[in-house]
Amino acid sequence: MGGRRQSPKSIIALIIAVFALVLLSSRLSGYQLRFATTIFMYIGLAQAWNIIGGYAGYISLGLVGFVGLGGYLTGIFMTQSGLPFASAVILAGLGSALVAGLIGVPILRLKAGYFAIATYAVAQVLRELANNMTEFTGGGMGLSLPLAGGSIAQINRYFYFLMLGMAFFGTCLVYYLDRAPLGYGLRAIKEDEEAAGVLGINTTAYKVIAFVLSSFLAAVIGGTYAYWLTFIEPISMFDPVMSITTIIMVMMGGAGTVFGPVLGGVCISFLSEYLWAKFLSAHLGTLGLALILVVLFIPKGLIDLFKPTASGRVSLRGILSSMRDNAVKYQA
Amino acid sequence: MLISGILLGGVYCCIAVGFSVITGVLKIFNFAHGAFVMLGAYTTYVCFSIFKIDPFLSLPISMAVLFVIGYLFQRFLINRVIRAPLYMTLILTFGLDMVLVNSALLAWTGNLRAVVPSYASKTLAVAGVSIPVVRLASFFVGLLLTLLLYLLMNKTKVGKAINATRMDLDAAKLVGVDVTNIYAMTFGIGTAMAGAAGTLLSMLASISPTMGSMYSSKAFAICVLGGFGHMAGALLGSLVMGLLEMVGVALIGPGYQEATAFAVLVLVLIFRPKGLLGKEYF
Repeated sequence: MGGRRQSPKSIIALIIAVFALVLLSSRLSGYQLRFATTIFMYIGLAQAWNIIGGYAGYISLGLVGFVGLGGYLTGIFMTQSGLPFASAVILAGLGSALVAGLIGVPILRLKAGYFAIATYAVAQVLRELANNMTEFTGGGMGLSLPLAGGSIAQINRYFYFLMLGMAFFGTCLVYYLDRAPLGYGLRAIKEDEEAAGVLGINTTAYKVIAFVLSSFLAAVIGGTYAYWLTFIEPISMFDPVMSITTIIMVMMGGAGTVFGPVLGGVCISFLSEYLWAKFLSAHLGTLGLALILVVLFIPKGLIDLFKPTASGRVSLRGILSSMRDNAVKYQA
Repeated sequence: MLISGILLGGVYCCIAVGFSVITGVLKIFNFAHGAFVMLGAYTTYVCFSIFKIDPFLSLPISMAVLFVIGYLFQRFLINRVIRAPLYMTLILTFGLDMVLVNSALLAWTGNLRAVVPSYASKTLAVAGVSIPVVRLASFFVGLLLTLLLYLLMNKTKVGKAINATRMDLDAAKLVGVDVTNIYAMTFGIGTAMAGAAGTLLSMLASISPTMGSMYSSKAFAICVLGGFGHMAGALLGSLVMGLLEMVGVALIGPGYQEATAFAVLVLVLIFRPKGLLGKEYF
């Protein structure tokens, strides 16, 4: 899973895109603003997952646990300690990072399958805690956060910018990671952890850092999400569909790349929205089917699929034969 | 109530044993296992409500149906990524689970259903405690099936082939074992056990398309606790898990039942990944 690293030119393209999106905001309707905000949120989450799942190769099924943790911590800080949003969300992020660090050390020692289950279990435990610690979290009855000031239109734009910022921050984080020694270390770990250790990479430290970064980002986004929703309850903050959707986005776009999650995020969001409108009852199943198809035919993601062939061009034939190879090469 | 927990353990054992066999031989974690339990329950529901077949008698039917379904899914879908890095099969079975649950939702709607045979309310007095006959019978059936599976794995030719494949894939191929077929059969056997458990559960709990996820998690927790590699591990794990759940409810409170199972899971993974009786596979 090597390949050339992301060139700095793409960061310029990214900044231009962000600028354009900011300018665009005044022309979008309320619905479009909210839809775009959701896309940005998912891109941010996808990048968070990308750090631990895409780069380090440790599939986490519990990302939503940290989203919920961040959301609830933000809510608690705002309601019980009266903190403003900015401080609350940063504290929530740091708190989650701390939890991630503590839990991460033991569970990152586990091999891939067990780690995945452990993360799933951690997310479930966090959800149950939120559900049961009613004095802090309101339990099943939910928690209300203070409203952001301003009119509906202003609120829409406020969160649009906020989530766009999150997506941008996440992508920049991954971009930095992609080119830094930490990123090289993580890729080595994903490729062959034993060999990486032999080469002198402190695998535990690198993995824990990745996990902590991932959780911090997820928690901060979770806090923003909570503030946006204003009313949170365990079912919505710890929604497993969020975990799954994020994973599909990253895998479909390209795990371990900088822009894969962005591409995947946009594609799946549009697909999901379309399905939601037309096939509500089959929404979950279609996502599952998409997941299966992605694993079978494009496990490295769209970004890898559209790479030019030896002749230097992207050809349909090349793409189709890659897909066919992927479906066959891992058979027993 | 304690006894009730232990009796349910008999059924959990079926699920866990099937899961353990699949994990041990195919070296994958079948996240869709709970969905197969759910399908077994619905098969019995269909047998009972449309064909008026007694639930216990529908056991062979649900097991056969689930075996075929499992065999086909493995042979033509999961087999394609079986040699890939583990996370790919994880995600594949995850997606499969979603597809199965959604299909069940479309076929039978989300309304809760139950299978209530004529003898459902009969109880038996054992040691001063009144136990529903259905629950007691399910416990014994669960254990019986586990025993049958044990015999299958250790005394029959197919069982030996499965064990060979588990121990050393390439060596098994060298001696002429049709590995593709064996993989599919093993998966089918695992899903058949899940289906049987589903049949039993259809009488003990309400049936819904989403009932499976709880059992997937429990099966995993039980297998981790008891240890993969020995069927006795799944058996021991089921009993211990049942007890731990009761302890958790008594000590901390009813809402924490599932959380206790998960907490146990994480703790076991951290401190003793092999489980109580297991041999390490990963």
